[in-house]
Amino acid sequence: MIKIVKRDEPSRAIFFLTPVLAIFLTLVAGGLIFYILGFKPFEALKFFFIVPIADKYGFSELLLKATPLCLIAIGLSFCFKSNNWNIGAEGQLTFGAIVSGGVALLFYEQEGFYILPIVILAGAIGGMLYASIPAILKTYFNTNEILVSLMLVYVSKLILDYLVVGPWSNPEGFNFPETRQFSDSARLPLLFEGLRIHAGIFLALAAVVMSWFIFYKTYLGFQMKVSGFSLKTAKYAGYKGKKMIILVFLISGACAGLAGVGEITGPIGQLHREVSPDYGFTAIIVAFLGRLHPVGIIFASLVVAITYLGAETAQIFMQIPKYTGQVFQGMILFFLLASDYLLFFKFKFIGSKK
Amino acid sequence: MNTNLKISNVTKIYPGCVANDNVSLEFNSGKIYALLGENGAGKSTLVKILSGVIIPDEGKIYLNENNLKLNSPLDAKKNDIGMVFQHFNLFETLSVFENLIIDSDEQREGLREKIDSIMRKYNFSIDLDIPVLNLSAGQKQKVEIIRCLIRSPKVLIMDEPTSVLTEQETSELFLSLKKFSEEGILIIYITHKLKEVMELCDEVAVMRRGKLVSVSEIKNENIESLANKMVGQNLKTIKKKKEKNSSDKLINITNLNFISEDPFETNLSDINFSVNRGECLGIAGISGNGQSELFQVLSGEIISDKNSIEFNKNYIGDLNPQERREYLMAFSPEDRLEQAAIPQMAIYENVALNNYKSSNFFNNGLINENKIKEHSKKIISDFNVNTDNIELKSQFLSGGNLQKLIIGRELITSPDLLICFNPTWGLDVGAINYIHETLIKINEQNKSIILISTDTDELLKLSDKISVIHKGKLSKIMDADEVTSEKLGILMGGGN
Amino acid sequence: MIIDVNFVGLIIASIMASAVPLILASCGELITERSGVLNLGVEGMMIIGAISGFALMTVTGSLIIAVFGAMLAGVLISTIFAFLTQTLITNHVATGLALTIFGIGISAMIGKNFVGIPGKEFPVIFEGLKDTIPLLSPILFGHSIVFYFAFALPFITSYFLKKTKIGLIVRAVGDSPESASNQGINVKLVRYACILYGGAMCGLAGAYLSMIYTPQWIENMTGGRGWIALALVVFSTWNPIKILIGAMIFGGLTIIQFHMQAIGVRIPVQFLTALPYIVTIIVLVVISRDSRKIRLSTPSSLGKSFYKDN
Repeated sequence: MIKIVKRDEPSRAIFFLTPVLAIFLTLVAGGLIFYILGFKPFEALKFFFIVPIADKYGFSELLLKATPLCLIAIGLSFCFKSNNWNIGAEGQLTFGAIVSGGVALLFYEQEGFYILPIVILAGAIGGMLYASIPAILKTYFNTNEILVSLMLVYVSKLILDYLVVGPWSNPEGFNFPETRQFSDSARLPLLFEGLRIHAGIFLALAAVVMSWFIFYKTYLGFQMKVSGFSLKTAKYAGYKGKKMIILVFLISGACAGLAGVGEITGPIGQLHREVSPDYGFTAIIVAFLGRLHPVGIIFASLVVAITYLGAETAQIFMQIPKYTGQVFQGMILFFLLASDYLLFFKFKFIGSKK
Repeated sequence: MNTNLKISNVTKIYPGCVANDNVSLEFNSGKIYALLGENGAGKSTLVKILSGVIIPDEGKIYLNENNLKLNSPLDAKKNDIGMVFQHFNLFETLSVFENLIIDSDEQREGLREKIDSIMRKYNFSIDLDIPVLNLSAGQKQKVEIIRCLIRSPKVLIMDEPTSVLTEQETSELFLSLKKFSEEGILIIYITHKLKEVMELCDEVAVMRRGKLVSVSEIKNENIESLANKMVGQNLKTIKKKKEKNSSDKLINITNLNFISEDPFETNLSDINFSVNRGECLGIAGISGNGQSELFQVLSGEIISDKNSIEFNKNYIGDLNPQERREYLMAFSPEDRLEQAAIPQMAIYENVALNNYKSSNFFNNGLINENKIKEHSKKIISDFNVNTDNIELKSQFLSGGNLQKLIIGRELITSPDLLICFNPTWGLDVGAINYIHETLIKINEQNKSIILISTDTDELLKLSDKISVIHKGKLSKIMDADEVTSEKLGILMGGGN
Repeated sequence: MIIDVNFVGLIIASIMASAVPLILASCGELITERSGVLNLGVEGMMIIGAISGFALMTVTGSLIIAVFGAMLAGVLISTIFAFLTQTLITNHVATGLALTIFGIGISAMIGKNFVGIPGKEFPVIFEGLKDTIPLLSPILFGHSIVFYFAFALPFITSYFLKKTKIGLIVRAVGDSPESASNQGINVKLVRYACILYGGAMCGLAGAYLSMIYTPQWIENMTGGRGWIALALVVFSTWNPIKILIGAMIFGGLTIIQFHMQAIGVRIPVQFLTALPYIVTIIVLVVISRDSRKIRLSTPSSLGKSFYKDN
């Protein structure tokens, strides 16, 4: 007879294995879905996970998509570790894109090495401003940050939409819903000839290193850790709770804003009505899959980036609807959460006693 | 009608401890039985087994020769066993009546009549339609008792019932229990308070470290003999030498008020008191009268008006806990697991929670692990914490060792004032004695203590001066020598 | 200018129609939350209901199968949430989000084949009485049965919670699962039931959108209503009757938006579309300021996982 018993403490081995288990289960379930939809499972999985990254260009696309995911997820890890549920990263990304896009448009005819840094800074500030709204409402007005940050996502997308088809629309654009192109000085430099991967990846890596340092080496990181375990204890130790909440939201907003800048000064080069395929939401999945750990997040962002690419490839080659990407993303999170059960509970074999 | 309850060879093992070790007991109705033992002796486990909350690993329970299968609280109720837990199982936002009807099979009108007749019979008077939130602890307990009585139980078990009651409410409870016993209900009374056992019960079963060590009649026992059975050795009595204290004022609280936004908290009004160097001020009271709020106001978790707290000639009312620690105050809260320490963090990480200026734990914002670990090792050895491993997660420390670690952490800077709240609740006698000795030593070094406690014996043992907190207000400060526990009891109940 | 009374009645009726999915989803989520479970997957469950209802209607031709099928779809998908949060004790927030992302993806996947197909006509009741009473008849008559059900639901829910034993048990579980468990109540079972009920109502809400309100399948057609439904539960302070009022206000905002565009009011359409979200935030802030009231009305165990050691 098998009995389920609570572990004394979470098993370290399982801690690293469950994300792998979750990915495996997702592949199995995905194969099943493909089969039900009438596609050959192995072929579909091949087009989904292997084909997209099989060549240099594909790998560069993978990094291109993983960059914003990694950046946003790093920012989110600050919030989630201290029990602040910032669900509105997509809105902070969008607002960061709006502010930096606006600044870039100011310089649309100019050249100069100083333009790009200003634009990047503007994006970070935009994201921080937007994230400060749920932060302030939570600390001073006791309002639930989940709903506020979420509502703000819709608002930011509508603001972007209005600006792009309205006042910021390209007067020489033949009424296409887009702004002018940014000048070359406002574009993130490409790293390799012919590939779309850009310098934004350095921002992401810098964020990873910085977050690792803060979490494991600084007093600030220690305070965040304690706050995540128990707000009561944090208060007793004299930590400034309100300041910390605002700080983590600002960090998260900055990261999301930078991701937004990365998109518009990287591959897009102007503002469109939409600037992100829901990176802000998918990054939440990346954060959990990576266990809120800087290195884990790097791997998780690569895994989730494949689901974006794979959805496109599978659609092109096998006419599989591209929403399978989202389906896979949702499933990975389900399976990860489910597999975490094994962290805290184990199966014990109990023979009959007498 | 006679009821016979037999517990036969019951064993329950948890990882790392044997909670019940082959326990066998027999009870008969007509007598009130005490189940006595110190914290951790296994009484709560045994009683949870009787009420179906826990399933034993081995052993059987017989009620009137019937082998009972108690796999859930419902089974216990169906078998006429009623239980009133120390921590009430009430729904605060529901009304009294709703709480009572929820596990009853009866119709509303019928139940109301039944409840009314029970209340008349035993002289309880409770408004059935107000939310339980608004009742006093004594009234809540009565609701729990009524819940049991509705089912006409054969057995009624009371688990540590008096920790939240006033003197008056305790007398009422004893009267009711005696009445129930006369009517044929088998009463089992679980406690670690020797005085109550002597006053209320007919027979006493003593447990120690999971084993049953003695069963005897009360008329053949006295407090000392029971104490020895409970602890297993001759208890060292700690005595405090009451010396004449200096009249050098260390801390002065003036006109402190606190109004809470939280409906579950108690407001404080007009708090005025002072403590001299080398003195121990005890604050007595029944739990829930503002002690926790008073602690937080003193520690700085709740900020007050700057001038309301004067410490060592400094006005510190508006400082947070860490800032107050810089002035050489220290705080040991009641809640070891959710406030004073984090169970999932290692010992040395918990030590770092007290980041006093000269500690160098966090130089320039960076973690200095070596310093923290060095410091932790010192605390473990100075304060007798039973482990060598500072990387051990604190959840694996026993209550006593965790409390020693916490107090050690707070005392390592030799603070002028230690404020502690229920420092010995839930600890075994050995740990309790150690903590008491530590507190006495602090006074001997001319440092002061504010001791907030719901244990009057502890307060009378350790305090030089005593005050009572009731509904957020403090009584006059009295000399501990001139106060009796009866007088304290009256003040704790709100009388004069 | 003469105001046509019937026109006013029609406007009110259209506001009420717009409120229907919010009422259904909110009342469902309210029961879930009263038992202590926070299910952020409302948007996902609604959209699955929308596609299920529409697909079943198109494929089988039967409206009854479609409506109940949509509710069943909501139940099935919420079972995943229940299994994860109650049996495997996962984090409520993450699980709810996963549910939403998964739900939107899967509904779009299935819905691909149904885009552009016109909906079937849904039968309405009391049509004959449509022009009898001025002002009131557009409001009272000529609506689908789902519409009438939605407006009865807050009262049914309120009665259920206050006056029935099961409703009492739900409230008790939300107040203190430990006490409930110690009294022999099967907390897991109660929470499972409440979650599945919430799923059924959200499924019905989605089906209403795709089969009656629009009626068509459009990708992502719930458009954030699920999140507004969640917000409605909060600012109704978990009181079903107040959900009715809140839903009308939001329904109203959506309708006003269309009419203002029609009249040619010179406010950018995006601002009008954003209005419900902005108003939600403002109302949430105002409600949450009274922290005393919030503490008393929030189910005490909301969002916390419950584990019973044996």
